[in-house]
Amino acid sequence: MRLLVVCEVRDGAPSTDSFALVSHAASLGDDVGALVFVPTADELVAALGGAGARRVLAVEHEAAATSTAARVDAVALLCSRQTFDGVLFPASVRATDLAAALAVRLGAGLNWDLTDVRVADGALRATRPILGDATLADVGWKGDGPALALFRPGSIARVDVEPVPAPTVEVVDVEPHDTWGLVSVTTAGAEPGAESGESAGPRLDEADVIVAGGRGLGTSDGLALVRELAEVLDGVPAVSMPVVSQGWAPYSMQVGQTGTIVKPRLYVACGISGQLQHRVGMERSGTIVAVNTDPTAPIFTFCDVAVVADLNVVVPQLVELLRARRAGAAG
Amino acid sequence: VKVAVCVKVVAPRTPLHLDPATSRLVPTGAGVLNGLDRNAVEEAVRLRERVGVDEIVVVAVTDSANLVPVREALAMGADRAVVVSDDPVAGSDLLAVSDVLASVLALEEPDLVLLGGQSDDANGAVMPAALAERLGWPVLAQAVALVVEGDVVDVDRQTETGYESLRTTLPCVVAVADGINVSRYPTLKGRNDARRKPVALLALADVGLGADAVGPGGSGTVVFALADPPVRPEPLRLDGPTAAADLLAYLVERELVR
Repeated sequence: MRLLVVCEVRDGAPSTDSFALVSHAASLGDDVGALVFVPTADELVAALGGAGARRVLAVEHEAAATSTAARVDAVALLCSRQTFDGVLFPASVRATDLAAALAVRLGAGLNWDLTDVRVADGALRATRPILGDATLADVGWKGDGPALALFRPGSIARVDVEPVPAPTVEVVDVEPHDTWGLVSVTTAGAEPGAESGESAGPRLDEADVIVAGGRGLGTSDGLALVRELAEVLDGVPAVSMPVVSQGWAPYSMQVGQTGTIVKPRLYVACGISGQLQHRVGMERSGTIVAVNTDPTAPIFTFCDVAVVADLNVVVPQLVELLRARRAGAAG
Repeated sequence: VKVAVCVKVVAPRTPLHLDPATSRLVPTGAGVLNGLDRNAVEEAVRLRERVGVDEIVVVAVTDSANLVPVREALAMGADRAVVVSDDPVAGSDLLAVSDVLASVLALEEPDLVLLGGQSDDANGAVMPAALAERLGWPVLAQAVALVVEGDVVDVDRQTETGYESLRTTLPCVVAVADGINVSRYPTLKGRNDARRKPVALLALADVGLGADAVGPGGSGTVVFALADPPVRPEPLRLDGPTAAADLLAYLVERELVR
């Protein structure tokens, strides 16, 4: 099984999802290539080999560093020169555009929002939760093109595979064209190595602990409680969609179907009722703690701990207890 | 500027069920206008109010005869609609539907295509770039602000790490995110006017496509089976004055706090 994983690079390293997907692919296929769009792949080779990549393919052309259109061009050319059974992408705004355009360019099937992939009877099969995750669809591909697959963020767990000590490095000789001609107007706030124009901040999709607030916060002041609890738990604060709609928090903090999909080890939901929109974004978290005054809130049907109480009482209490515990540990 | 808004008719947000035999939705009442497509129609109407738009045409692909959602878009302020309604469309995936939409747009020749960033029932966000690729145009996905001046298009968009501002020129495809506007409810006058606005019903042949371009035959993916997801056990319930202390004990026991 020849598989290609189209990786995202953040701060000079493969993103958590990219690393996990390479390792998962390595557990399925004997020939797994990791494709990166960077000026030089040297510093990534060891990490990708550690995830089980036999080959590291690098598109070093500068157009592909920033332009999704150039990436479509590059991957399409690569697929015309080499045969892949599957091309796998950890989903992001850019990767989704890339995969969808590539599907049309190659006339290849694209399955998206996948949470698992395996090999059955020599072909790739995948799992896609549908209908608000109420049903799992077993999906596949047909036709001649490579199976294109977009994976829901945080859905693929890292697999322990035999590391490849010295993966071969192939510089993909392409001159990709930026046919879309998108010009990034703002570059302020972008980190070195970050994709153009994107601002830095705590990353929800890679957070280990998330404390999220919803409509039940009552006012924008309620967000301070969420931030406090996040701080003492070494976590990242987040919100549900209504909080963003109210203008209390920026979109970058939004967890949900139209926000960021997360999978932290611990997710604490404060004053969030658990509408489908939110559920899709967080229900794959490790441990889910929900605080809500309404005992019939939908979130209590998909959490591990249901705290039926006023968050304005319980959250400050918990913050105090955690601080006291920390002070005790330090003393 | 001529604007086309591609809309999808989706099942209403009630509990949905699939027919295990066909892997398709069991109809649960009449379909409705996809939520983000409503925002796309709204943005087209606002564009008309801001900069002047010659025409707003709504484009839809469906296997149903339900035109209520399309009339809704017209009632919001679109001028006319083109609906490809043909039985073989049932069971089409991204490749097939993008082909039909692009075929309609090739006839309509708009300057700007707007659509919702994702659909309520498929959760994919893949249509905008697929459609743009068919047209050979740039795509600006996840737009939360749109400005058109002459043929220059500026979009602020959302990505995983925040906002970015992008610029391109017409023609292009812009996919809207839910932050872009709050869509209007049609007025009574709007609804009355919508009844008289033209809705062209086309068959696949009218846009130059055969039945083999759509449905399972025109698609690159297949659904084999459906299953129920694993059930989460009943949660531990905490309340009363010791709730915070009990919660801390739970978190400590599972090593979720340091």
